[in-house]
Amino acid sequence: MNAETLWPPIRLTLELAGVTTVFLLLLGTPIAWWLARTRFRFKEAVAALVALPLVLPPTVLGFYLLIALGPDGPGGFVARLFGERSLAFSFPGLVIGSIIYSLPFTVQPIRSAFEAVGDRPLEAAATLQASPWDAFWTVAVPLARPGLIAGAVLGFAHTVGEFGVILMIGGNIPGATRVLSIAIYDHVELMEWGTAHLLSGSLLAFSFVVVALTLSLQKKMGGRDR
Amino acid sequence: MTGSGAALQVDLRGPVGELRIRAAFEAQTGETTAIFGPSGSGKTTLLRAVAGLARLPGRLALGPDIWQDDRRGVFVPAHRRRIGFAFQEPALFDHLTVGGNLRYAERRSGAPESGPAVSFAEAVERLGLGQHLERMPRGLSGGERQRVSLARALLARPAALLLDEPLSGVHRTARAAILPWLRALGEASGVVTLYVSHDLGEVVDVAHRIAPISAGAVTGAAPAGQALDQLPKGDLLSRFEAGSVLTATVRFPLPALGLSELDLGGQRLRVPGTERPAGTEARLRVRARDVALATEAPTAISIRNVLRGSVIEVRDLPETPFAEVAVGFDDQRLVARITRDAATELGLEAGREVFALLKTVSFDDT
Repeated sequence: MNAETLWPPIRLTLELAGVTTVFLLLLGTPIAWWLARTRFRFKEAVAALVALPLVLPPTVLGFYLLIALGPDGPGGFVARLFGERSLAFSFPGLVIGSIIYSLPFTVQPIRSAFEAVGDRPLEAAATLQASPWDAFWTVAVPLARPGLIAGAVLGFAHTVGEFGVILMIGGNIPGATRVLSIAIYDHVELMEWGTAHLLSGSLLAFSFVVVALTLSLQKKMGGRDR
Repeated sequence: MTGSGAALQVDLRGPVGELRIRAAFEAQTGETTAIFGPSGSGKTTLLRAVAGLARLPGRLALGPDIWQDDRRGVFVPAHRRRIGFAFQEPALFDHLTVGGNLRYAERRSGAPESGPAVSFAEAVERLGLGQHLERMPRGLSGGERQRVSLARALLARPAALLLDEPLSGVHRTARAAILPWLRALGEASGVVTLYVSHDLGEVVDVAHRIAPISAGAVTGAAPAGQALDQLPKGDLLSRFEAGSVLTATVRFPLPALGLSELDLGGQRLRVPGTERPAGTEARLRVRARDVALATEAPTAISIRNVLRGSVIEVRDLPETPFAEVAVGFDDQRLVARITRDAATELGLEAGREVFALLKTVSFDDT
């Protein structure tokens, strides 16, 4: 057990979760807004598509991602633009996989928060000459803030904890794709119980804090309901 | 830009649920036009369509500005119409303080010279908001929320001020001071004001013209005196049913009884319906004819809802055997319609303690 084997997976995991969370918010917020506000007939079908990773075995998702990111998929095409062969087994590939895998965890709380805001405050903003864009930033986002925070926290935590998808599309390359959950698996395989204990215990504590934080945010949000 | 002669022309018709709106009238600048009619006659729907928050087929114009013209495919969205709107249920921004709500409107109202205006200081003073500026809207009473909502609408520097029962929860004395000021403000600034109400007293105090609405139909706005004379006298009571709106807090639902227990300034009420969760604020509607008055605490009667309050005023309803008695609790008021004979016999006069027996109370879902 030494710092050199301990730290790279932790750092990589935090980097992956951080970058993924930024993209989750950029992508998930407009999706959540659309799902909360649209009267499109088939919006629940779109919602189901977003929620699919909740029930899909990570290996299934990982398998399709592997194909999509590989040399013959669209990911490979993008990779060639940057002089690479494939997006699989690379950090950008992990980010793409994590975004898809964690999207429902970010979209759901944000959508609920936007729905709780309702039409009225936005109508009031419109009568005060606030454009829809203005009203979104000055009324909807501040009112939905607990939901946005919950979405970010859950997306981050879920990315930290992911295993199957990463194993499928990222393999186990130290420093590049070897994240915490995979490192723990390796340590157990190698009978390095001490290290496995340390890392697992840290993740356990981290997860508890995240869940407690999210619940208290949701409670705060519920208290604001009428 | 005070829009001299820029009358608001309304010509809208179309079905809304059970109702068919047919509204054709003009409202003049500098005047307050009351849209007056009973609950469920389409007042709110019409006002929302004028604001651009809802859509009804037809044409809308404020002076030279066409807001809607279906024949030419014009529909200006609400945020580009120079309006101020006060919702019946005040839609304050809960994430901003009272002052923040007002500044939100002021900041988006354009340059000071861009239209009719009331200053921040004047609005705050006239609507009695001085000591509330730092408070959050959630902590305010129903009447306070309505006053903030009205101030915010005024600070938007509207060319058309659209008010949907803006003072229904405001205490009578405060209301009596606000209405003439609002009327004078409209005259001085040249704003077109539409004032939706079902309260005859309020309409008399504020309106230059009255546009009666009945089952969705508005045929024109007549000068207030003339319009009131034309309303069939005996009919006035039944058609424009007097009533009150009370604000109470749900203590808890009682599903077994199909009732909810509410708190109204420390007094308890039980009202049919259990959908509202504990802690929420609810508006209750009580018709004046469903309220009886007693000068002693009644016992052994079927009426469960009895509120203790004191008489604010007794007002005779001319050419009828009835009188309206306004009873106050905290900062809320309730109107009872009883016979003049009963009022005299009970010795009802301002300040007298009474018990109001509410035969029917319902949640106000409009």
